Amino acid sequence: MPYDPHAPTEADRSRSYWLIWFGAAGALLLGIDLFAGLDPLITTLARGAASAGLLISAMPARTDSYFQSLCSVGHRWAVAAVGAYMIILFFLDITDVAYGAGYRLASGVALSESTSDQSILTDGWITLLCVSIVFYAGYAYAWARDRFGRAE
Amino acid sequence: MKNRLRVLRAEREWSQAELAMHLEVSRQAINAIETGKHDPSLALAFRIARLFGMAIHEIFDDGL
Repeated sequence: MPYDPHAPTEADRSRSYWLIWFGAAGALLLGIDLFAGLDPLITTLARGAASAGLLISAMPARTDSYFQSLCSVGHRWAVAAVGAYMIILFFLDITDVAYGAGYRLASGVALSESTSDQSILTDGWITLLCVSIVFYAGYAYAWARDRFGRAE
Repeated sequence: MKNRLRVLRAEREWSQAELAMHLEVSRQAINAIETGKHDPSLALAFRIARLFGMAIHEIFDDGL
């Protein structure tokens, strides 16, 4: 194998494991910020940490297969959260469509506004933050399972 | 999957970090493989076998 001076070292690969925990802490702080309103300096740092963790999980070049297997659990959880989120919106939309159709049949006039309040559900930042937290929760679950679970 | 990685490493008096350095993975990955929590990829299994000068089936046992 040719020598590559820029090849990641063992320390580089190990660093990705604890960077994920910084990301998880950042995502949790951002969640707390929604309710408690933290200092802007803290939220800025938390946003940086949360985004770094997500980006590292998606870039396999400087990580190894075990790290990627832990991240893949988080990715699956995050995708499942998106699916659950969309199906909730789907059912809310069905309610709207059914209500609107009934309204139109009864009055002959189309309903112009949605009847359900989806303001929180369709807030982009809150949605993305929730998906991020679910990713970190999935990673933490896989890590704890391997660390404290029974070996084969 | 059971394996002899811990024994082979101990025979050479290597730490997990040293073995990880030889195999270009993290120390955490070595620990997970040794404890049977993670199965290495085929490429990594070949690297392990080559490092210890053994065949893959002499290091890893799938129980079949």
